[in-house]
Order: sequence, then C-alpha cells, then structure tokens
Amino acid sequence: MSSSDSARMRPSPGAAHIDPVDDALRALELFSRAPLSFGGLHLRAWHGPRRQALLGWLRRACENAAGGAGPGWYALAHHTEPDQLETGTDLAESLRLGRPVARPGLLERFTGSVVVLQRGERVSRGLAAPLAAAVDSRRIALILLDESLPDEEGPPEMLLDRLALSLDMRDESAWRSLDALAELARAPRATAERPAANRFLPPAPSGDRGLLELCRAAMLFGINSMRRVEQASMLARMSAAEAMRVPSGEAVVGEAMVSEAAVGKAVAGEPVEPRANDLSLAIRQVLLPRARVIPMMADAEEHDPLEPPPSEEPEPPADLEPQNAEPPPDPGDPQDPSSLPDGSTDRLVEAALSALPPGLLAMIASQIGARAAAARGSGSGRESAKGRGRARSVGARRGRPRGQERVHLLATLRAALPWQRLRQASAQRARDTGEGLASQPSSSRPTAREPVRFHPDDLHVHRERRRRGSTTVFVVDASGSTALQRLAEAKGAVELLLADCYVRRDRVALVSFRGAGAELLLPPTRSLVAARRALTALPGGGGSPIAAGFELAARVAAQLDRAGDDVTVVVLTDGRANLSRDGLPGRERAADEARRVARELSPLATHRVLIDTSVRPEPAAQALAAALAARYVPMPFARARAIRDSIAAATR
Amino acid sequence: MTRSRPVFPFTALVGQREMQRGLLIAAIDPLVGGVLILGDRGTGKSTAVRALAAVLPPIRAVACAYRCEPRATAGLCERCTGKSRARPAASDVPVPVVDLPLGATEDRILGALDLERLMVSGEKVYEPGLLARANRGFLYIDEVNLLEDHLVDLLIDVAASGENRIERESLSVVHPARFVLVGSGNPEEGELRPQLLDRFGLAVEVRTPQDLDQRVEVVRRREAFERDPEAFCAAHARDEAALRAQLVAARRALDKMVFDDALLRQAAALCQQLGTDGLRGELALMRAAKAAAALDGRRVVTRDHLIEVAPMALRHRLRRDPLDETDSSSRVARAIEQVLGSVAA
Repeated sequence: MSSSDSARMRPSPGAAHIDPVDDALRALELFSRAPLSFGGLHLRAWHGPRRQALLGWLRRACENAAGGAGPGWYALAHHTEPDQLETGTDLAESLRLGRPVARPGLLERFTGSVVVLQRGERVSRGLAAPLAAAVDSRRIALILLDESLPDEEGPPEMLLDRLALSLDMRDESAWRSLDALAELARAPRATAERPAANRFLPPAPSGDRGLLELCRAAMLFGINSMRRVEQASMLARMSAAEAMRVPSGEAVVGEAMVSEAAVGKAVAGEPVEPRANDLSLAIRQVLLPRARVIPMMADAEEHDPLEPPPSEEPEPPADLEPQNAEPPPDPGDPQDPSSLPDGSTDRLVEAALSALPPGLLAMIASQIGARAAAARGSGSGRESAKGRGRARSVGARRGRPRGQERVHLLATLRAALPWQRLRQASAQRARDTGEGLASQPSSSRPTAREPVRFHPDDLHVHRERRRRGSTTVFVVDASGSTALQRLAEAKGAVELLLADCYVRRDRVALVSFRGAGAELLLPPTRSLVAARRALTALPGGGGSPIAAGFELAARVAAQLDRAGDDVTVVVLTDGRANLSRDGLPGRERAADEARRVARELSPLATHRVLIDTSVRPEPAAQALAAALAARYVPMPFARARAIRDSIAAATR
Repeated sequence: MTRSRPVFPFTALVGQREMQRGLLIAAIDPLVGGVLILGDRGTGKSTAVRALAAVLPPIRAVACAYRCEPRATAGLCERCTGKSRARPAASDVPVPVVDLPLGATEDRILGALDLERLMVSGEKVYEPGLLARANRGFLYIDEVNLLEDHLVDLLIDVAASGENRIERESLSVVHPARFVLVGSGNPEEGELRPQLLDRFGLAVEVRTPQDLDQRVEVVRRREAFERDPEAFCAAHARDEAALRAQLVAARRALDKMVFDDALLRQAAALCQQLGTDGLRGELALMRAAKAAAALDGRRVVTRDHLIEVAPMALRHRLRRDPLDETDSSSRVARAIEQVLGSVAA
C-alpha cells in the first residue's frame, strides 16, 4: 500500500505515527515469504468478507513469494477428530471393498502447507496438541481464526505460543476497506516492485546487537517464552534482509523449507544486522501483542482518569505475569530497570511504541489486564467450553444406539469381523435349504466381495462422558465493614475448598466486591497456583456494593450453567449494602437492590450458602439469604475450616 | 513425527541444569521412575526430551513387537517367554521414545484388535499400541497435566505394574510395558492428579533463563539450528558421542555404587523431616543420588549428590497444605539445611 493509500484510509495524526494496518500488512508480507518458519498467524476477526479478503490477499502473497505455485492452502474444521490427522483405516471404503483401505492422515497431506484452522477458539486440546507439534517441526504453518468474544475463552495457549504473528481485525472501521484489500490482492507490492528478486530471504544469522535488544525487549514486556524472541528475531532479520534487497540467483519454487535452506546456505555467513526499524517492527508485531506488561507508561494521560491511582497500589505487577510462578527477585526482573545497563533497549521499545497512534497503546494495555485474568483461569478453566458439558467419546460399548448415541463404527466392525466366515457359511446353508430367516437374499457364493454381515449384537455405540463439572463461586465482600476481620478467613476457606476440589477435579471462582464495583478476581480454575496468586492480591476496604457483586456472580454462574456445570454460590458478607449499582450511596436503596439481584442470582446456582460474617447475626444478612434462597450460616468467628465444612454440609 | 528432521542436540542446550540432570539421571536408571518437567511455555521442555532420545545409546533387542531383551528371563512378552522355540535374532535398535498425544484414543494407547487381519483372514490378532511401542524406552506426554482423566487412569495402572493387561473385545493379552515416564507441563494451566504425580520419580522445575546472555545464547543456537540443522548437529557430534559414552559408563557403574550408611540415614531423615508419604520418595532419592554420582564418574555417593537430587526427588511428594504459602521447593531446601547442614558448607 502506498502512503497516499494509507492517508486516504485513516487520517494520520502526525507524521511520526505509522499506520497500524500498514505495519501489520508489512509483517504479513514478510510472513508470506516463509510461513513455515514463522509458525503461523493468530487472526482475531469476525467472519465476513473482510477476513475473507485478507486471507485471499495473504494466499496470493504466499504464492507470489514462492514464485508461482505457493504452499498448499487447506482449511481445517475445529471439530476434526484428532485421529484423522494420522494415517488410519478408511472404514467406509474398507467395508465397500471388503479389504482394508488405508486413509492418509491429514497431516501427511498438509505437510509444507498453510492450514487455516476455523474457529480456533473452539478447538479441543486433543486436536491442538498434534497441531502444535506439527508447527514445531515446521511441517505446517497455522492460520488460526479466532472469533471469540472479549469475555470468552480464547484458543489454547499451546497453539498461540507457536504463532509468531497476531492480528486483530475486530475493529473493522480501523481496517482497510474491502476495495483496498481487493486491490492489494490484485497487485501485491511484492511482484510489482521486485519481479525477479522476489524469493525467500535468507534467514542469515542475527547480529549480536539485534538479538540482545530483542531479548531485553521481551524481558521488558514480561514475556517468558523464548519462542517469542526467536519469532521476533526472525521477523527483524527478514525485514532487514529485504531492505538490503539481497538478490537471489536461484529460483526457488515449492516448499518453503527447501527454498529457505537453499537460499540460506547460499548467503549464509553474512550476519544480518537488523536496523532500528526492523527491530521496531518485530517489537510491535511479535512482542507487543503478547506482552504481559507494557513498559514505559511515562505518559500519564494514558491512564484512566476515573480510576484513582491509590486503588491500583494493591495490584502488584506480578498479577500481570501469570506465567511467572513467583516474581523472580533476580536482576532479570522486568520491573527493575537497573538491570539494563544500557538504555538503548528502552529507547528502542519507546520508539517502537510511540510510533503507534495515540490511544492504541492504552487500548492494548487495558486488554492485557483482561488477558491476564483469563490466563489465570485458563487451562482447567478452558474445559468449561471444551471438555465439560459437551459429551465426548471415551471409547465404545456394546449396545444399540438410543436417543443421541452414535454408532461406533470401528468397534462394531471389530465385533462383526471374526464371525464373517461362520455367518457367510450359515447364510449359504440357509439359502441352500431355503429356510433362511435373517439372511438376505443373495445368489453368489461367499467371496471377498461378500458384504460384511452384521448382527444386532455387533452394534457398539460411543461411550460418551458428559461431564457435569462442579464449580464453587465465592462472592466475597471485601468492603471496609467486613474486610479486615473476615478477608483472611475467606481466603483460607477458598484455598481449603480448592484443595478438596482439586482432589475431586472441581473448580473454584472468586468474585469480590468493594468500593466502586465488583471484580472477577479468579475465573473458574482448578489451579492452586493461580488461585493463591489471585487471593494474595485480594484488596480490601471501601463501600459495600453487594448488588454489583451479585450481578457479576450471576453472569459467571450463567456462563458456567451454559457450559453444563453445577454451580455453588458461597457469599461471605455482613449483608450491609451501602452502595447501589450506579455507585450512589444510600443504605435503603442499596439493600433493596441487593435483594432484587439476589433473587435473579438464586435460580442460576444449584446450591447457595450465605455466611454472615458480622459479629452478631445481622438481620440484613438474613434478609439477603432469604432473597437468595440460601442456607444462612452465621459465623462470627469464621474460621477457614468451619466455612469449608458448612459449605460441604450445604452441598451434600 | 520429526523423524526426517535432525533433532536439536542435547549438548547444545543452554542452562536449565536441573532439567538436564534430571533427564540424564532418569535415563541412567529407569528404576528412578521417570521425570516430570514443570515450567513456563517456550522454555525448551520438549526440545530437551527429544534431544535426550537422540543421545541415548542403542539397546539390544529381539525382533519382536516389544523389543524384548535378548538375555533377560523376566519381563518378556509371551512369544519370547516360550522356552521351546528359539528366540528371533537380536539387534541394536534406538531407544524408543514414544509420544502420547493428548487426543489419543484408548485403542491407540492400549492396542486393539488388528482390523486388517480381521478383514483379510478373520483372524483375531492383537495389534500393539503406544504402550507396547514404549516398552524399554520412554513414554513422553507433553502437557501431561491436561491429559483426560480416563487416559490418566490407563497410565496409572500400567506405570505401576510394568505390564499392559487388556481384557476387551474378546481379547485377553498381557504384554510387558516397562517405560520411563516423562511428562511436561505448565502447572499454571491445571494440576496433575495426585495419583499420576506420584508415578513420577523426579520432578524438575524449569524457568526461562533470567540472565540476558543466556537468553541471547538460547536464541542464537536455535537460529543456527534452524538455518542448517545438519551442520549444527555435526558441530556437536563429538560432544554428543562423549555424553553417550558417559551414560554407558554410568549405567555400567550403577550396580557397584557405594552409598555409605551414614548418608543413607541422612537421606531417610530428610524424608522423615518432610513427611513424604511412603517409601517411594526414599527409594527415588537414593536411586537418583546413585545415578547422579555415577554420571559424574564417581563410585561413592557424596553428600553433594544427595543435596543435588533431593529437591527433584521430593518436591512433588510433600503433603499438601493449602494454607502454606511457601512453595515445595523452598520447603525441601529448608529441610535439607536442617538435616544435612548448610549447603554452602
């Protein structure tokens, strides 16, 4: 795209700022030169012509880069059964022909190709794992289409970590128009500018300097995965080498790996030293989208002015680093700028980020918090959509299909085959004597083409396990009236319960409310590590917006319910609401509202417990328990174990 | 899956000493009981496991489906147990390292009726599964903490008994399935079932190097490998051969290791101090210490070896106290200091 093009699309606020779309397209163009080396692309976009157009353009770019016949381009459905990836037996064909027919595995066909995974946010781990391995061994490049909503679980981290690029097209107004994308596809810049030298760029060794800068930058962003640095370095080198316009004599057609190695060897030895521009591109396109911390928040105007700064204090930065079990107290801590003896990386990162239009960075920063929270609950939390609730086959059992059950073909066949000779012989006898009851009319003698004879007894169905998980949602009043006395015990109870749940494979979520509103501190998780971290960060003090807390709890409960979980809601409060949902003080109205929301929450949970944490049984809390239809447990000297026991009693 | 592509050499791994040592120890003495590798994404967990496979010396095996040991008398498959018939010829084969993918079916893991034979001749023949292929080798489960429960159940039985017993689809088969269990995963994304956790002899922790130079070196070597895998492996061939020789020597020395009584008592005291359940921890600790000493070319197990392996042998066996904030590694470290005295001394 020319500069005039970008000017038309999006008014540039200043000459210093680059167009984020231009930037992304540039990275994608480099990706198209060696898709397998980049692992792939995480594409967040709604289904529609715009995404279609972008993929079309990318495919053309890959073809052009390979000089005509590009890498293969395959679509893969998210519900593909994992064993289809490997070579197996083609059941239908085998039955038809009466001899085993092999079915080539999908991965075999995909080797050397770009695979477009549809609705990647719904992919099961069983499918994700072999795909991740295929990306690792450079067999395929994966374009993962992600249509998840902001508060939904995203695709498995296992896959995302392996995809170098990440592109968010969900804000369609900021994107190229369809026409512009179509034009791009018609006349890719690559062919227009470099008709002959448009070959793979050599992945020559990086210069030390660039590598050092990227390693440091990754640390600044709190990125622990070394894969990210590799990917960033790859992009920077490609960018630098392209700028050098390394002419390649060899025409390389076909598989990316081959051509890359060929050209790479041809020019090997000459380290490519990425320039600041190349590093900036890599920082913006590879590191920034996966950042856990945004360094250099010097411009305070990016902060939300509504959020009073002190309330951010209790949030330790470790909270943004879900990958880091304990924030390491070593010199490499990303929070510690003194560990960088040389300020150049800071300047580089600053330059890379400041090239972005104002506002964009703040938006990304706000997404990071949400992602960190989601990551805390991921893993086992992921199961809510992909393992729990939804039935999954765990083998076969003998029986005729009833209701929704599916016939297990393989098992049925295995049951029938050993009897074929006998059955055919008896069928023949029946035909000969003319008194066959169950046999089908057939004139031919048993041959290899004889159809397989099934008896009703052979039938096997998928043994499905519809796991009804169970999740306990804690709703903890962290307001001033309760905070100090009970917060510690509430934390203890959550951990104890989690230890129980852990044995039973149940999950725990934690909603807390105080001050201006409610917060999902711990999305449904089974991870003790994640829970502990959320709990140490649990801040206390401020008003008591019970209604807001219940409202959030109801949202969480509804989501779990949809996923097929049994929900237990445990409320720890003294029941003295003093803030209504719109943030206005007033006990009367707040209490009224709290009871109303409690009635909405009530049907969403299978079990409900309200633990009154005030010193004497509090009428307000009793009223609230009644509205929630919850078991009321006054617990003036709440002890973690006592709370746990009463919950166990209530759910039994 | 990566058969055609050379594997990143073990000796080219940067840092991650605990993981490297843990893997080597498990390779020297299969009785240690395998390794669980816990850590962040992108820290080279799977790379290390695959690298280990490539460096291991080949094993002598009979040409049967289970690679039975030619001179062994126990732990053999049915065919090799038969006294009358002469056993098939033995040859040197690479140590099998079998991946158990998260999405594997029960049939694929346990083995099932051979469909092809059924169709062609109507014969009922058992077709061995992944467990059979892993016999005498390694069974590697990436993201082991995300493994489905019903698959975990299969593994738990087999890992304990060393044999795979199938009674289904009118099959009745028992075959040896002795393997070193290697798992990796990120504990942030889900916990391991305690029963499976217990099957691992060692648990090592791996973290992204926080040292900048080390990080740069990691990426530099990866890039060099990606650019020209063959040349990179050739450059490390001598180191690999040396490590292989070291492993062979260590294995040979294993039976002759000296573990003096005073040290044995200290090892027991350490387990007692930590309240690790059962004897398994103690056994793993002693075996691992022996293997570590053998790896270093020593004949006598020293206190240093005990200190080195204690965290990996014990950290996953501590009784869980959910209210105790201290992580298990530091609890082990504290106990070591109490029982064995200051580590620095």
